[in-house]
Parts: sequence; structure tokens; C-alpha cells
Amino acid sequence: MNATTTAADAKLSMTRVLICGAMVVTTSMGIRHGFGLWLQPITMERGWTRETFSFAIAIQNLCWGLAGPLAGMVADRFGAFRVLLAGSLLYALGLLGMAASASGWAFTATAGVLMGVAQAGTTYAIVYGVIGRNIAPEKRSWAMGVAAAAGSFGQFLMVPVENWLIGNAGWQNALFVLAAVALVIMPLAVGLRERPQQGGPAHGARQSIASALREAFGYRSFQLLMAGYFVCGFQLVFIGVHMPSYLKDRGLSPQVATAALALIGLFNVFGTYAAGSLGEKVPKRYLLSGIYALRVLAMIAFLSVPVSPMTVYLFAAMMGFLWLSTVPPTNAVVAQIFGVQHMSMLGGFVFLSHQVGSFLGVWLGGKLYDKTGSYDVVWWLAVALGVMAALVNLPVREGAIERRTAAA
Amino acid sequence: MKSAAKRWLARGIAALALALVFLAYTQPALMTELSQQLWACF
Repeated sequence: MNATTTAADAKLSMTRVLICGAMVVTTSMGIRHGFGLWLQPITMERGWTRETFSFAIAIQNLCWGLAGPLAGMVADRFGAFRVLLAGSLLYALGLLGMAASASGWAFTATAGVLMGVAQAGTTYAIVYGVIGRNIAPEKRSWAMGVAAAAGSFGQFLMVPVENWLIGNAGWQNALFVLAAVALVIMPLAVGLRERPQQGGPAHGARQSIASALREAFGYRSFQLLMAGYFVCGFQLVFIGVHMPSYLKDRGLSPQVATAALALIGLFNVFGTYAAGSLGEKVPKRYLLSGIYALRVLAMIAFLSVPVSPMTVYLFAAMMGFLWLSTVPPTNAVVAQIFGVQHMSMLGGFVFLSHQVGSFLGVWLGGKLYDKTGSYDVVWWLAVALGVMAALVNLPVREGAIERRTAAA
Repeated sequence: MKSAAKRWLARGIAALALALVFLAYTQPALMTELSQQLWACF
């Protein structure tokens, strides 16, 4: 108990963690969200195909997922502060490289690899580790909801900002400005700097990385959470990337698609906050199951009625509300089960599963469209996967895992 | 009382920020430009 008291004394204040953590996530999630706006100016000026640009962004997403567990491991061992510093620097270098790259490979190395790794070091898993270690378990889900809502707000905010920057300063200067913005993460990271003793275990003896991985991957509830998060990635990225094309096929104007994406962004902020707050009151497995079930209902309703601007807006608002709302409860359950010692690393693995789902959602969306001439098959695949995700979250055990090895 | 007032102030600021960003999306120039970008991808 003495150790707990000491650790509690060394904890960062909740206000400090929330303000700095939320601003870090707002910045890191926001900058990357508008990258699509650079597609035309860059490909036109460099004489590249769209594939060159898209390939780099696809690599970025994969690197984000693959580097997540590693960044989390380093954050859990040496503190989030150092990882955030490195992430901020890599982010800025990646953006500068994106502006300067004259070949497709250089563009892939900077906009793809560098920025993917940078995102792994500056987004949810890293900040959630600090939240987990510094905020009391009963407030954790809410705090994660605040941080996730901040990330959603960053995404919502940066599209018009980046569009304005490109229009007024030119695409290269806009990237220079964003590189400077990415460096703002550094002073914010100072606010998340923890004292060394805070890396201690949440319960039981100190656990090695190998033992933590064996424990997590051998634990049914962790596998189920990963399966659910895979579906989350699949659904979101399929809808985010392919919905404009789907609406175009249905004869709707481009303005409808743009307004739909704006509504998704707006309602996403409310949804993530609400999910985090609800996670304090409702068992998180039911919350997650409910989110996936509501997504299924929204998709079935959308596919069953004739498409009109109004149905698109309703669907966008509903899906927006459910968009990143899985993030706070999923991560809060991981912390509840395994404690916070390896939280960023385990969060990184869960996110890797999300990114694999995202990759398949984009890729299968295009592949099956080319094969069948419509998105119907992928829509119904997203529905079926949603049903599966709603079911697999129900048996998740939220209680702390029982460990045989007691503290020596 | 004090913390309740703070909470409402924070909510008010958040709502204002969200409303301002949403208004930015409704500007015809941004709407048209984003639409062109979106459609150009397909």
C-alpha cells in the first residue's frame, strides 16, 4: 500500500494530463486527416500518378499500425515523453520530406514510412498510457473519451484549415506550416512527463514484455477485443474512402458527399465523448456490443431505403456518432484487464488489428467493386462483420486478470 | 457552484468551436473545392 501512496503522490494532475494529452492528439490526428487535399497539387506538380500518392498513404497507415506496439513498448518502458518528442520530430521531418520529395520512392519514405512511425508515437496508444497511469480507474474511461473527442475534433478542424493553407500559401508552404505545428507536440509532451516510479505495475509484480504478450495473446477477451477492433477499422475506412464513390454512382451531387463527411466529423466528436462517459456507467462490453449493433442497424437502414440527400445526412450523422466511439471503451477494457504497466504496447497491438481491418476495408472495397460493378457485396460484408463484432464483445471479461505470481 | 459554472463554460466553448468549424464547412468555396477533390479521386 505504501508503494501505491508514493505512486499516487508522483502522479500528474488530471487537468494537466487532459489538456496536454488532448492537444497532442488533436494535433497529431488533425494534421494527417486532410492529406487527401494534397493529392491533386502534388501529383500535378510532380507529374505522378494517383497511385504513387495513394501507395505512400497506404504505407503510412500500415507503418502506423506496425510501429504502434513498438512505440508503445518504448513508452511503457522509458515514458511517453521521449516517444512523443521523437514522434513530433519525425512528424515534422516527414512533412518537410513530403514537400521536398522529387521521386515516388522518396515520397513513400517520408510521407509513408516516416509519418506512419510518427503517428504511432503521437496518437492514442501513447497518450492513453499516460492517462491510464495518472487517472483513477473510475475516471479513466471518461478521460479517454475526452482525449478521443479531441482527436476527432482535430480531424474535423484541420480539413478546412489545411484547405485554406493550400489555397493561400501554396501546397509546399502549407506543409512547412504543418511541420511547425507538429513541433508544438514537443512542449505539450513536457506536460505529460512522468516521474520514473510511475511505470510500476497496476497490480501484482512487475511483468516482462514477453510475459505480458504471452498473457494478452493467450487471453480470450483480448483476442475478442482485437477481433472487434478489426471490424471497426474495416467498416470506417471502407465507408470513409468509398462512400463518395458510392454516392456518385447513385447520382448524388458532390456537395452531398462533402456535407456527409462534415457531418461524420461533427458527430464523431459527440460520439467519442459520449462513449467515454458512458463507459463509466455501463459495462464496456455491452457498450462496445451496442456500438457495433447500432452500426449494423444504421447500415441496413441506409441500404434498404432509396438514397436521397436526407438519408445520406441521417446515415452520416448516425455513423459519425459511432465513428471513433469504440476507441475509449476498447482501450479502457485493456487497462482494466491487464493493468497499466504495458498499456501503450497492448493498445498498440489492438490498434494494429484495427489497421489491418482498415487496409482490407479499402482494398476489398475497390477489389470487389471492380469484380462485381457495385459496392453491395462489401456493404453486406461490413454488416456481417458488424454482427460478429457485436457478438464477440459480449463475453469479454472486464475484470483484472488473475495472476499466479504474487508480489515478492 | 463554481465547478458547475466551469463545466458549463467549457461546454459552451466546445459547442462554439464545433459550430464555427461546421460553418467553415458550409462555405460555398470550401464545399466546392472539397467536392472537386473528392470526386477527382474516383
